[in-house]
Parts: sequence; C-alpha cells; structure tokens
Amino acid sequence: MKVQGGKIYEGERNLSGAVVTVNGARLNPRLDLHRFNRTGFDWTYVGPAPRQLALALLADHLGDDQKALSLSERFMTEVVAHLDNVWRLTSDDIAASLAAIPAET
Amino acid sequence: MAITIRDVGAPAKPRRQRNIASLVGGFVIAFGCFILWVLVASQLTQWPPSLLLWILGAAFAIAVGVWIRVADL
Amino acid sequence: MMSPRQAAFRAAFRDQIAPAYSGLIHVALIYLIGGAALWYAAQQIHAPTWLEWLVVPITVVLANIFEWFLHAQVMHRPRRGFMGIYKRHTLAHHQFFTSEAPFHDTTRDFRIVFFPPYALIAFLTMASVGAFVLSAVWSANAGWFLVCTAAGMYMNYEFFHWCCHVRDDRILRHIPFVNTIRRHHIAHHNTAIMMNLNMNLTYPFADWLFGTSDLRRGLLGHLVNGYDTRFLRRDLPKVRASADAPRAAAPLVAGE
Repeated sequence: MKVQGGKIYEGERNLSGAVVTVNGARLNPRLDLHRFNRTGFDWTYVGPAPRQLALALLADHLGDDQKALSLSERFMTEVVAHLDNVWRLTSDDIAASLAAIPAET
Repeated sequence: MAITIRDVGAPAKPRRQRNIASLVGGFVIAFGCFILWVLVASQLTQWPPSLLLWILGAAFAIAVGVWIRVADL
Repeated sequence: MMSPRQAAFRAAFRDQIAPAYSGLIHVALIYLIGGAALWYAAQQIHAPTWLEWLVVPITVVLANIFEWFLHAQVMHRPRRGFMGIYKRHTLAHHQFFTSEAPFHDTTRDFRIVFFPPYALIAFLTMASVGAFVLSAVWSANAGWFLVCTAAGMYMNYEFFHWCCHVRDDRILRHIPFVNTIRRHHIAHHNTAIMMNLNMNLTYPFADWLFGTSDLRRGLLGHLVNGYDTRFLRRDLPKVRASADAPRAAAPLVAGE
C-alpha cells in the first residue's frame, strides 16, 4: 500500500532474515555508499547493522547520499535503535524524526 | 491482521528442506557419542573394551547420527 | 496474549519441523551425552585438595559470563561466521516466543527451546581443551573438575531455560533461582529489551555485573528476586513505530 505522496518502510524479523522493504520492495542497503556491515540490517540497538539500516533509509528517503551518510549515526541512535521487532515508518515519520533530532553543534 | 511484510517472491508454502547443519551435526554428534561410549565402557569394564562393546558403540553412534539428520536437528 | 503475527510464525515454523523429530528423544540425547561426560570426568578425580575444588565455583562464574557473552554478542548480533546461531535465536526463537506469549505447547516445540546436541559437543570440546591446559599447568584433578562443571552447567542451562518456557508454573514459581530466571528470561523476550538486556539464562550474575539487567538491585537481590517486579528500572527502553501487537503510541524521537 503506497501512502499518497510518500513511502512506507517496513521491517520484520522472520525465517528469511531481518527484512526491510520500501513500498513492498526490498530496501537497497547502499553498500556502495558505505559498508558498515556485511551481514544485513538489524535494529533496536546501536551497532554496524543498525547503522547500515539508518544509511539505507535516509538515502532512499532523502535522495541525497552525502546527507544520508552524515546523518546516519544520529538517525541510528535516535530512531533505528528504538524500532520494535516489527516496525513501520512512513516518509512523514522519517521527516518528522529528522526535524526533531537536535542539530549538531 | 496479516503478517506485516508481504511475501517478496518466496513460495506461499515453502517445501521442507533439510539444513546442512543437521548433516554436519549428525557426524559431529555421532563421533562424540562414540567417543563417550568407549570412555564409559572402558570405565565400567576394562581398557580396551571388548569387540562387542566397540560394535555396539558404533551402532549406537550411527543410529544417533542418522536420527539427527532425518530429524533435521 | 499472542499477536496474529506470532501465531502465524509458530504455524509456519512448526510446519518446517521434520516428521521424524521427537522432543523427548532430543532432550534424552542431551542429558545422555551430558550425564555420561559428567560421570566419566567425575570418575577420574582422586583425592582432590580443597584448592582443586575451587575450580568448580570459578568455572561456574566463568561459564555464567560466557553464557552472557554468547547470548548478547553472538545470538543477538548478526556476525559473519555465526549467522546460523543468530538466525536460530533472534530470527526464530524470539519470533516464536514473546513476553506476551512465552510458553511452548507440545514436546515438538522443544525444537525451538533446546539447542541441537552438537552445541553440547562443541561446549564439551572447548571445556576439554581448557581441561587439558589446566591439567598441564596444575593437576589432572583440576582439569577433570573443569569438565565436570562445564557439563553440569550446560545441563543446568538447558533445564532452567525450559523452565522459563513451560506453561505450568504451579511448582516452579516456588523454587528459588528457577522462579528468578523465569521472570528474568520472560522479561528478556520483551522486544523492547531483547537485544540488550537480561542476557543470562541460568543465574543473573553477569547481568548484574555488567549492568545489563532490568532490575536495580544488589547481587543477592538479583539471584533471589523471584517474580518480584518492585525493583524494575524506571528507565527501561521503549520501542516505537511498532507494527505488530498494538502498543501505546510513543514519539519516534524522545522529546518530539
């Protein structure tokens, strides 16, 4: 189901792995941008796999690779580290969370 | 409520497949069981144990290893 | 209460269990192997000194820390070379059991409760290597004590872990240590904390030592806490953006 004017990101842990999709299709991990982790996505903690997920989410949402890379650590600690076992984020959710993250001094 | 993530291409009801871990594990467990059998037998009887005990130990170990694989444990 | 997703996962997982699998044979094998190893090692100990007896409590403590480390850093993290363990635990065991529905239904569910027996073989092999080194630098008795204790701790773990996932607690709730780890481990299955807290599976010693417990108590309090929830930390993490069972709405970012 596609949100009008936005995307739906969903994550789930199951027998196939820790699977993340955007509008039903697998989310590109963007290993070409930076390889934080070689074993896929993960969430609900701080580490290489959640950092890769943060980067992939931001790169897809922002369409700006460098900005995604620079924000990935903060987005990981503020959002990805608190995602539930099964989660759903919309484009609006990500935009709101980026706006709420305190700016770096 | 359905499962959150839609199937991304896998079959609706995946065919049961045995894991490679149960094949390797079968050999490992069989070997471990055989070693333990020989040790316990030698403690209870004598060292080395009799030929019959060696054969029974091998049979037990093989049976355990086969079951591990068949049960896909 | 079980979410529809958890119920669907259980059905899918049970469908994958081989027909030849028997939970009772599985458990019998574990205790046959563990019991044989413990018995044989005990037979090799002769006239131990009190100093050699100290190997037992030291090994208990080290095994407890090893259990904590393995659970926290291997079973709950996708690490190269150890993905099979992560998949079997985080992606299967924790989808089958949640804090809302932590109990198994039949002995076929033992497939997702007990480790495969080669885990015990691997553990005994590691203990044997350590015992060989110990016997070389100290004494044969010390080495055999290590093997005895390792085998005993493994069987302790499997029994305690099963006690956490069995439904009927009319007797278990009154047994010290068992009731403690039952509350501790069922809480660990809360998806908000499962990746970070309550990593011990026998006695919450390492969780207390390394500050990864959901309780704010001393060591003795941790060990005999039982079902008590008065000492839960007030700063336990909460998860957001949940798409499974309904949860209280929480902002995506704290302070939003």
